[in-house]
Amino acid sequence: MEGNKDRQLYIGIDLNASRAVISFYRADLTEPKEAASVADSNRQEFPLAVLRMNNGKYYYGEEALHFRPEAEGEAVFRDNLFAIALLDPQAPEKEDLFRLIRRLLYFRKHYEKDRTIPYDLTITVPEISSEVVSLMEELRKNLEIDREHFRITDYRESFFDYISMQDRSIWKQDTCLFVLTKDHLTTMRAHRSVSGADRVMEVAQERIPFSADVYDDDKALDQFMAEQVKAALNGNTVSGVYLIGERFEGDWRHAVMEAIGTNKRIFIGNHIFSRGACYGACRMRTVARPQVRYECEYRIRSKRFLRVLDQQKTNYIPLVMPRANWFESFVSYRLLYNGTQHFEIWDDDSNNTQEPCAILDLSDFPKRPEKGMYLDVIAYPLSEKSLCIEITDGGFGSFYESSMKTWHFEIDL
Amino acid sequence: MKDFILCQNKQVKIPYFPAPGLDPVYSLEELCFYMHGHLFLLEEVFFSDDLIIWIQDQLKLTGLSSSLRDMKAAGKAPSELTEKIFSFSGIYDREELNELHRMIISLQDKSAVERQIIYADYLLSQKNYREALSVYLDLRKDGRFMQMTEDLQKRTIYHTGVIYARFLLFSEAKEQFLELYQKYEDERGLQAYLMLKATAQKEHIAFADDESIVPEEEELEALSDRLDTLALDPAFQTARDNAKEVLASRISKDAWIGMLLKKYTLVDSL
Repeated sequence: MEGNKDRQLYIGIDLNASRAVISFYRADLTEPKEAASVADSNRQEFPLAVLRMNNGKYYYGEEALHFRPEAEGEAVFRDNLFAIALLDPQAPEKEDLFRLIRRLLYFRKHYEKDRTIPYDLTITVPEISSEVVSLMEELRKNLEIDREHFRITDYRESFFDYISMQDRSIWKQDTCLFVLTKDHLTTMRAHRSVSGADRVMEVAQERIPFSADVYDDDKALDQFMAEQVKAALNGNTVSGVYLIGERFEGDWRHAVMEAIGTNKRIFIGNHIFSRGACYGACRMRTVARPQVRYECEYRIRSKRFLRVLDQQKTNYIPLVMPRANWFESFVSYRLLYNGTQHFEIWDDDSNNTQEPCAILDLSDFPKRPEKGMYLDVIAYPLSEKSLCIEITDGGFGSFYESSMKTWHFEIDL
Repeated sequence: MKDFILCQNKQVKIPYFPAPGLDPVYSLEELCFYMHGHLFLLEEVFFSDDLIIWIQDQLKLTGLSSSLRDMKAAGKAPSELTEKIFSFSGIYDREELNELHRMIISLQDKSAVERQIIYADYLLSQKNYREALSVYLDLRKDGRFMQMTEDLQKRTIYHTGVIYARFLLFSEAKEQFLELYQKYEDERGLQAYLMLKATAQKEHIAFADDESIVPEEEELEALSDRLDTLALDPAFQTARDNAKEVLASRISKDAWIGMLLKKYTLVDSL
C-alpha cells in the first residue's frame, strides 16, 4: 500500500442477519471507532433495511425504518437484506445490500477525506459458507476493491484478531467470550497451544438459546449466565473474559462475576467483532511475524504446486496460499509457452516425489512458436477439498492476439 | 518437453518500438522474441540509448541497463550485447543460448549489404511492402548495389519489380523485369514481364509494348531449352510449355499473348 502506514485505514463490518456495525481503525488511534447509525447518538447498529422512494431517493438503515410508515404506497421497503441475499442470489435484496454497504463506507470520510485512497475492508459474519463466500466475492467486485485489500472472516476469527492485538496477559491462557442477545448466548473460548514451531490459537464456539423471559429478568439472567460461565471456565485456565452485549450493562451480574472469579481480566463492551475485523486487517499488514497464528477448519491443509522453469531452474510454484482460509486463497501467474502443452501438478515441492498428482492437458492448443505465447494461470479453492485452475491464452503482446481460449480444471485438495 | 517458463517481468504501459513500422514490445520476453526473429538487424544502431533507457525506466531492470551501457562504452560488439540480453532474460537454456550464439556468429560474416537484403526480404514476406521497397531502393544507392554478388543484385531487382507490380505500378515493374531479363538473362524477368503484360491487357491497363521483347523462333527454342532446367518450378513449367507450344505451332505473338491471358490473371502469383 502506498502512503504513510500510520494513515492506512482499516475498516471492519460486522454483518449478520439483521444489522451491520462498521468500525474504523488507524494505527494512530487508540482503538477502532464505530460509526453512529443515527446522527449525534451512540446507536451504532445499522438495520439492514433500505427504503426506495418512487422518485428514486433511497433511505438506509434507521432512516429507512423511520420513513417507512409515511412512505406507504410511495416506496419499496426491504429488510433482512443479508439473509435474503444469501438465500436467493437473484433477489433484489442483494443489490440493496451492496448499496447499503457502499453507503456505510461513506463514513470513512471522517478518517480519510480523499476517497481515492485505498483502504482495507474486512467483513465478518457469524459463519462462513460457500454462499457467503460467493456473495462476498460479488460484493468485492461491486465495490471495486482489489483482493489484497478485502477479507472475510467469521466471528471466531474476528475474536482471535481482536484479542491477539491486546496485551499478552489477556490471551496468554484461554480467553472466553460471551455474547448476549435477546434470544441466545454465544460462547467462545480461544485456546492457545503449540504446533511444531508455531504457537497457534483455536476458537471453539457454542450457541445456547434461551427464552425472552430469561433475558428480561435480571435474576434469571444472572443465574443462567453464571451457569454458562462455570461450564465454559470449568477445568480451563482462563486469563481474559469478555462480556459483550448491551444487556451486560447494569449491576445485576452478581452470580456471573462470582462464577468468573478472580485473577482474570474482565471486559464489558460491544462490537468486538467489527473491531476485531479492523485489527485483523491491520495485523496482516503490519505484523511480519505474529506471536501466535489462528487455526481453524477453513485453513487449507493440502499443498499443490505447479512445476515451472524459473531462470532455467526447476521451481514448484504454489497453487494454494499456505495457511490461508480456503476462501481467501487466490494465486495468479503468467507463464511463457516453452513447447509443452500439459501442466504437472505436484503435492510436494522438494523434488523428491516421483510422480505428479495430476497432469492437465491443454487440448486444441493454438499454433504458436515457443516463447511466443503467454498463459495466464489462476487458481482458487472451491471448498476445503477442491481446487479450481483456470488457464487462459494471454496472446503475446502485439505479436499474437489472444485466442481467448480458457481451460478449466478442478482437482482434489 | 520443457516446462512452462515463469514470467518474471510484467508487461509495461509504455512499449518500445524496435524499428519504424514494426510492432512494439511490452516486456523483456517480447523484446527477446523480436530480437530472436531479427538477428540480422541487431547492429550497433539497435542498441540505442532509447532502448537502454526503456529497459531501465519501464522494465525497471537497472542491472541489465547498466551492463548494456557499460558494454557500449567499452566498445563491445552488438553480438555481445545481444547475447547479454538473451542470457539475462532467463528464458533460454544452455543449448538454446549456444544455438543463438552460432546464429549470431554466422550473421557476423554477412556484410551490411547482405543483412539489409535479408531484412528487406523479411519485410516483403511479412507484406510490409512500403518498408521493403524503401530498403530495396536504398540498396541501389551509394554504390552498395555494385558491392553485391550477381545473385543478390538479381534478387533485389526482381523483388523491387514484384512490389511495384503489387501496387499496379506496371511501368516501374516492367522496367525491373526487363532489366532482369536483358541484363542478367534471368528467365524470371521474362516470365514476370509477360505475366505483367497479360494482366495489364486483361485489366485494360496501359502497357507500353516493346515488340522486340517477344522472342523470335530461335529465341523461343533456346528459351525452351533453358526452361527445361527449371522444371521443378510450376511457374516455369507453364512458361516452358507455352514456349514449346509456340515453337511447335509457330503461332503469332498475338496468339501467344492470348494464351498467357488465359493462364495468368494476377500479378500476385509472382
